[in-house]
Amino acid sequence: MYQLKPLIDFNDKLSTNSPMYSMKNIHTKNVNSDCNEVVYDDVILNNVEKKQDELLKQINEIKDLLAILKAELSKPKIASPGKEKHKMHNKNVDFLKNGVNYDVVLNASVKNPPNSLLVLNKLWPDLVKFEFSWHVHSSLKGLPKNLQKFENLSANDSKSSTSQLRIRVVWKEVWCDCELVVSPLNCAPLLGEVNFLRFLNNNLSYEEMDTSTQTIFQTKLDICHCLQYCDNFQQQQEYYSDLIDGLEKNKWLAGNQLTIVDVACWSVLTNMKNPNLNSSLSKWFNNCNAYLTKSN
Amino acid sequence: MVIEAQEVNKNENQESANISKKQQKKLAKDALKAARKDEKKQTTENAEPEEDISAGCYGRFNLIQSEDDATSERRKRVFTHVKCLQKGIVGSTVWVRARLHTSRAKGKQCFVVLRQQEFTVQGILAVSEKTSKAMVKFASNISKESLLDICAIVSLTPQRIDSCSQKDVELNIIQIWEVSRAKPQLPLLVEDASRPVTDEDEGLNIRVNQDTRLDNRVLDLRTPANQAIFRLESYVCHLFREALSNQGFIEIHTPKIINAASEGGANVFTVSYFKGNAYLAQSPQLYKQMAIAGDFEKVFTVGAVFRAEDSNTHRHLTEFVGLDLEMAFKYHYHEVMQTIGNVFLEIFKALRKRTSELEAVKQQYGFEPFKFLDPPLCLDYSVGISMLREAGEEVGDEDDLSTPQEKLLGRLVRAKYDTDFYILDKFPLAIRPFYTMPDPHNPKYSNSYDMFMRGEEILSGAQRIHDPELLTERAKHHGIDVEKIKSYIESFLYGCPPHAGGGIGLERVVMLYLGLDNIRKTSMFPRDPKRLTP
Repeated sequence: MYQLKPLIDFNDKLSTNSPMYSMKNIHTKNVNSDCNEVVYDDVILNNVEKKQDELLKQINEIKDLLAILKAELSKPKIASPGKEKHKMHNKNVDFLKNGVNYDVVLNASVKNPPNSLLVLNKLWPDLVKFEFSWHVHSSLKGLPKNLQKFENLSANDSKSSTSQLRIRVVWKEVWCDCELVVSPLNCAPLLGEVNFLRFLNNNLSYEEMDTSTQTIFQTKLDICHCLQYCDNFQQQQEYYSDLIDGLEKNKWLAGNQLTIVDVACWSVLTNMKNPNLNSSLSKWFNNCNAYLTKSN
Repeated sequence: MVIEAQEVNKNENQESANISKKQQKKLAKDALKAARKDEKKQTTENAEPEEDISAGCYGRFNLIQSEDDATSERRKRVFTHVKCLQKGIVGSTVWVRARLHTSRAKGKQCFVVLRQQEFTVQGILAVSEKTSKAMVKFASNISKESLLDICAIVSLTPQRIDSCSQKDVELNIIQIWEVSRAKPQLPLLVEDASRPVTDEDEGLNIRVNQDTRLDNRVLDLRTPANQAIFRLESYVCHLFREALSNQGFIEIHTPKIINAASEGGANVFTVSYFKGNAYLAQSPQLYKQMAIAGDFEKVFTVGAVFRAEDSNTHRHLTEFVGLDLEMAFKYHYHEVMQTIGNVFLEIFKALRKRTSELEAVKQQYGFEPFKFLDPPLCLDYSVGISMLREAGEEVGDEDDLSTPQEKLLGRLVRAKYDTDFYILDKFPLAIRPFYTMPDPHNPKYSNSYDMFMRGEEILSGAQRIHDPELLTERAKHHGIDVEKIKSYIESFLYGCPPHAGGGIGLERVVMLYLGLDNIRKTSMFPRDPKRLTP
């Protein structure tokens, strides 16, 4: 564009005659102010800016920390049944998070060996793998021959380094059939094979059960435990009839799926010298035996 | 004779007429005394052959200088051990050589307790047609701890004697001879020294201080508990040798005077060696390894080890017996670790059968049976650390365990696994000596292991580096002057099989197996910074 010269020259400042007190313009810094003052203002402003930045940073840090805390505090909620189930589906059973440190110890009695150990890997086949190691406690002088079958178990599983739970079985003089020590600091030992199975079931099973089935399930487990210490024929038969309740409709003792009830009952009956089984129970037992002892 | 004495008196009086009266009186008195003594002696001498029916059945042997010839009656005597005095031989006459444990004279009777090693039996001597009063008096005046030869008839006791180890029988003494006399004043009584350690204040509870015991170790060693402890200790050593020999190990002997400190330089004793200095071996480590490089494959050694550590704790000695072993393996050092673990198991299994000795120790110190697992429990160091953290202890991943932490871990392991013996594997590389082989998967860890008994470390071992270059590198990393360990590194120059090993302190193993509180109890003549005698 062609530039035009200004018609009027405003070299000198326009001074308006006003009665008002003129204020310093705060928006344009260099109006009516000398150089030093400008620098001073800048320094102040910079400082303020810096401070603000710092504060913002700190607030952000606090926010992050709070977020972490929140995440950590809400973890127990993750362990609630619903989410646990979700975890199970992902095949990420982490026993270490459930208070188990490295391994659990199962003190087993030689007289009533926990046969369920033999079939543990069949209960939750695609969910969890168990690793066993075997020890004899010094309270025993030697190991009976019939327990050799247990030792083979570790030989088969020793290759799997992906096991989620290491079970250290110690043959020992135990006053009940077996005793599970998870962590001596956090909880008392769990007595009895049935409770050992319950412990695993609580950690692993994702099957939702309504209250009534749950009650029957637990009652049957209790019966399995009592059966072991029962020396009265009458009582024994009563227990049996309770156990086979519902067996006509279902293949297994608690529904159409193999559960710990079957395993617990099978283990107890295997240890018994004369189980005096009735027909339906013996059919189930043979069935169970065949299923559990067949190799994969 | 009285008249005679008076006459002598008179004569004297006359002779010493010029001496002062006081002196005269005194002299007279003395003379009278002497006379009476003389008189008494004569009477007893005269009376003895007639009165003492037991002469020849008691007295003091002359110093036995092996003067008896082969046909003499004394050499044909068959002696019975006190522990063999049982119901089965009631009525037979036996010879026993034993110490006088205690004696108690009661009118015309004298009860003695005789002790041979840790076994005690009661003996009775009573005045009768065969036994004279003088013999009973002689018996009751024998000082305690004297060594006696006794001929006696074994008889049943009317009541069980609870204070003796032989509870059903006692000895009716026929002959009693003093073989070696003990000084009547004893620095400590064996009875006091063997009193059970209890916290109860009831009754007589005199105890003997540990230092008094060690100052008079000869007397102290006579207590049943000490007899048992040192017999067990010998047995442990024997078992160690036997278990390893059965597996093809050979015993070697390594020099104890060496030219350079074998493990670090701080805790080593310097001895003058002709014109220069030499050191006392802190461990047979290097020599064991050289034996491996010399193709012996499996070696062990039993010998003294010296540590110049000025620590006066319950578990440190400056000289102790080291049981060391070293073994070449094929591909994994766990072959060696398991071998060592099994040696321990064999020792433990054999020891639990020695019930009589264990009972003796239990009597005095209380003994909680030693628990172990077969096969032994083996945990990784990281697992141990996480167990400690679970218990609220703050430990870094690569920290060494302090003594309280070790003990705590021992308690945790005992609570969970119910075992007093366990192996901790894969220690951090940083806290092990320079010759320890690093872990192949994680450079922070190493192929090394410690074994623990009742929460205290008894063995520390590892796979050793058998490659001279890696060894030099590790030594430099630890700031060790490579020149000084040149001969050690050189021994691997000509090829050496992979090997691992470890060393045990004999005294410590016995102490911990028995659950004793002080290592001085399991060392016969302990050496510590404050004790060089006896």
